[in-house]
Amino acid sequence: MPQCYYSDKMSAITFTNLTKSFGKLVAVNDVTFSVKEGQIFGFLGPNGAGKTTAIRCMMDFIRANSGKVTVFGKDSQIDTVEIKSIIGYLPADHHYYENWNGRDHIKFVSKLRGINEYPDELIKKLDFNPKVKVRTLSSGNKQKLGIILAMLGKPKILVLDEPTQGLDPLLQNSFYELIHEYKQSGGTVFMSSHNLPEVERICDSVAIIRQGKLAAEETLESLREKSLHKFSLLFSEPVERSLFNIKDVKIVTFSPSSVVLEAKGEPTELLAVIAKLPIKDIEVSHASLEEIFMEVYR
Amino acid sequence: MFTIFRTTVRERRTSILAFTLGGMGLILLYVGLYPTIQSQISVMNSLLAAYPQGVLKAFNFSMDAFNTLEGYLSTENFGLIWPIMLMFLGVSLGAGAIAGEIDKGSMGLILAQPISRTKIFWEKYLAGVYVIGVFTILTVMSTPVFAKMFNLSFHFGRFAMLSVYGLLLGLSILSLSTLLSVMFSDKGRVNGIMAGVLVVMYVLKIVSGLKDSLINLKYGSFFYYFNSTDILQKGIYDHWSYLVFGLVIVITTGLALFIFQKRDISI
Repeated sequence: MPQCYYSDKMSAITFTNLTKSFGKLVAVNDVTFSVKEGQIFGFLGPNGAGKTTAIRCMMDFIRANSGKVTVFGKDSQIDTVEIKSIIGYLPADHHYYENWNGRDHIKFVSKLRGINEYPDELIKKLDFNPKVKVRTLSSGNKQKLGIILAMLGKPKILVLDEPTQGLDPLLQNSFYELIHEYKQSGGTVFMSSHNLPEVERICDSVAIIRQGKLAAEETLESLREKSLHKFSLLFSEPVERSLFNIKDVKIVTFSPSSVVLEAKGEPTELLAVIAKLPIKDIEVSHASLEEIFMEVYR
Repeated sequence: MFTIFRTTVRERRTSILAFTLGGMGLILLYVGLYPTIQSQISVMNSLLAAYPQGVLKAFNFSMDAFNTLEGYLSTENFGLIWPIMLMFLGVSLGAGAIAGEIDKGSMGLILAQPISRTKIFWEKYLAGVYVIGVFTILTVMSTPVFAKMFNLSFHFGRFAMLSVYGLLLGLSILSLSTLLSVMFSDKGRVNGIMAGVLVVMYVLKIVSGLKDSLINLKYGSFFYYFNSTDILQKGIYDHWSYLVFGLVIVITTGLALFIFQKRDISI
């Protein structure tokens, strides 16, 4: 890792009341959250939720109407050059110089960032051929190039917009390993994703954005805890449906001999009911992040 | 240092070389033909004399244009073909500098690096200045060399002055197209608008010569301030041209930089 000139542990990235409109459309609306140093932070939301707009504000591609983004206390607009020197950025839509090959891009970005070393190891890990012209690369290989360019010179923060799109499962695993190694060496990752199992697998915390507004900001664990439990019950004798009319419990499917339920929050009351029933089989599972996500958006 | 400048120039190296050699080749052709023209000077002059006076005036043709190499080249090349080549270059460079990069999406790669928008702008702009300078100086200043090859007499100073005026014209076109380039993220749109603007300017210049009541329209045209007949054939240098071109360059470039620093670039 490069020498860190921000010595004290602090929020790596802070969004403070960030608002960005395009005409009448409010793309990001008063969003506030922060990313701690050394975290892998997932930024979740459906298409058009405002994830990329928020990231573009951080990268100073676009300017906020109000509020601000700071990176290690530095304003993303005022101190943009300084901030970008410690950020490696992977955009969601990668566009490169079609007539150049990967090596040309790596050299170009290296020169702009003042980096002398060539990323042989990273290229090998991602199984990328830097001699092939970009116009002939598949979207997966373009994504690999984007990851290599973002990680050039081991920046202090990685900002990744949909980082695994276009990568096959094997390469996704290589990418996750890279991210873990990067985190262990002290780096901070801020990544947007639609891929909830991916976020579940690698992120420490998440923020969920919906229609430009922040819907939730949680550690992954607390998000899971507060959210949904799924109960599948099989009865040895018929039971009444009305038994499951409990607050925060949803009947997904019901027959007198079986029921599937979703319970929000702590399922204490439901467990008390279940204890009195003639249970033949029971299966309890945590809802996936996807289900939690859908719950937040409902 | 100057990575964007060097990369931009390197990217256009082949096309600039081909374009410049094409321009030089054309001049060589005209200069090579001049001894033949000279031997038929009375026929050529009578040919010019057959044109209606209004047309000669509108297109700034002089009756004795073919008497000198400078007059001949001014009529045949530096009055129309060469400025068109210069315009094509200036518009293409200006449009490609910012709008082209945004259009392609590659501006995102540059903006993500630790380099200010001001530096990006200047390196892109200066790459255009460099290319226009190379084209102008190599094409115009190759003329005395070619004239020497064919043992023709010439005024070196007039060609040097034509380079200066040509450079100013080229930079004005570059600056104007760069301004449009930062306003619209669409290279095609910049090319289209610039083509329209330059055609209108050319028409203004022609129309102003057709009728006395329209004479003031010439002030709205770059082609009035770049008058190859006056510079080459007559050795007349209009110092107002420096001021007008200078103002166009400074104002449009300053405005373009201001807009580029302030605007959103959604890539």
